Amino acid sequence: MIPCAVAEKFSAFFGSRPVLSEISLSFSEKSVTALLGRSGSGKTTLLRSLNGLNDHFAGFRSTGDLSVRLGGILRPVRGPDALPASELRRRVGMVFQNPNPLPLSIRRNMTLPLSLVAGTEGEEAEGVMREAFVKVGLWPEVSHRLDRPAAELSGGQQQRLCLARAVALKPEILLLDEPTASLDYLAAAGVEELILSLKEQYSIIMVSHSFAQARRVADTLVFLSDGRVSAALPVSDVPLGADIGPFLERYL
Amino acid sequence: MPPPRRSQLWIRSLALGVGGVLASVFAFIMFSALEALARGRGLSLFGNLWSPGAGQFGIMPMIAASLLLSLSALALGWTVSLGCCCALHLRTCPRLSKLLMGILRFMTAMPTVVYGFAAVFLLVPLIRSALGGSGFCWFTAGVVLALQGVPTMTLVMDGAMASLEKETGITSAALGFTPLQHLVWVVLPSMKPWLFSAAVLGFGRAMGDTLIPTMLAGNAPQFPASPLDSVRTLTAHISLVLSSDMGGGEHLSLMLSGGILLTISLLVSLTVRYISFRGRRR
Repeated sequence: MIPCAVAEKFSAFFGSRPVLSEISLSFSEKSVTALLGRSGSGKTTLLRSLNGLNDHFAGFRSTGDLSVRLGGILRPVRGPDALPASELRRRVGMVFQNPNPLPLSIRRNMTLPLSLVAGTEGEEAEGVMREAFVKVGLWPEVSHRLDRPAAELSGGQQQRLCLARAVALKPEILLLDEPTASLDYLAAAGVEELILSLKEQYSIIMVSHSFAQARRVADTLVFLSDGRVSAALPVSDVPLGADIGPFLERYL
Repeated sequence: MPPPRRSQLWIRSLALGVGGVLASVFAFIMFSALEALARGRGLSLFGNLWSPGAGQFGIMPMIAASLLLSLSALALGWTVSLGCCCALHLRTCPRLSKLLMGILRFMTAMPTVVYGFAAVFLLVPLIRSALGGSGFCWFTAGVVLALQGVPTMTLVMDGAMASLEKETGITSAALGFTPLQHLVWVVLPSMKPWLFSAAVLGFGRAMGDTLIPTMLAGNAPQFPASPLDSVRTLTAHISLVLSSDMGGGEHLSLMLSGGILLTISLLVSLTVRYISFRGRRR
């Protein structure tokens, strides 16, 4: 297995409070890894460590090593050998729990990051935008109203816009933080299908609030409990039926 | 939970009372202004010459001075405020931001007479020696008025910027934007209504200020030809005439000045309300 990200004795703290304790783990490339655990178990912090987004918050500190494979080279996320934050975050894309379009038009939500971060402008940016919208199945719904505010879209459409925005930047790794938590059943099913179709091209690491969902879309499940990895196993090793209760009890 | 019936009644009657007092002040000034026009030989009060000895009571120079001075103070003050606000939020040097915020908060509590007093001894001599003239001019008053408006405008912009930053900061960071890109491309375009309402507020304050123009602008009732010319604003005119004359044409011009000032501040206040109403609806 080629890893897309590797953690070695990685610990994270907010102030003096430890959130992750000595995590050692590798995430495989071109597959979906789901992070599961109770609230406060450190799933989101681990996810945000992978694109350095925790540095956005005051009091964040980490020890140990955490690296991501970009362009075939394993690079640390922090420290002197790390990529600049903006480069790292372009190549390790992220989608949040709540759809978060920028308070701009639908078109601008796509073309602004393309021009500022990837240096893609004009016709070329329009092409990349169309391609990304087609990929997430949003093109027919937005093609006639690209200059309307993105806030006018429904929750599910906004979340697909956010996915398209992340994908348009041509990331190598996609981080999804409970991407369906704020969506209704149908919209969530649409996003799940999308995740399955994207895993051919991207290494996907997602936090999921639902064990059933994780089992549907993920190849590997990682269970976190109190900031430690309690289990990491392929989805085929997860028991079915009545054995599921004691299994979850043990790892969550 | 709504307040009980009796206190509701109290609150309503108090609100009605206060509203009535304000309305009567407004009506009094407006009627006086109209009466002044009627008694002051029609529109001659809007003349270009103020020369009480010759029976000329035109307040046009004062209207022009008020507008020119407040617009120029606004242009300078608004730009500085926007700069202050951006500096506060980029946090390139947190200690400096904190200091700047402290100074701005302190400045909001300072009476305008202090600005005027300090400027008479510090800025006026500087301008006199550097640019010539008496130093008491449109330019000096404009600079100090701009300074006086900076804290209010910065705090209005800062509030909007803080909430927009909170809303969009992490999204922009996750997309790989630098803090400067985030500010310029995401936050500023979204805060247009607040930038405008800060400008309207700043204009209203500059227009209504009395002490700074009285102390620094030189008070000559004339149309200025250069920023180094002395001017007299409507507010300064009211305070100067009121402290020396109590009747006649001079007095009538005050009523009209008051009416014009009140109309302008009413328009300013309505504009701010309209903008914030539209902003909330968005």
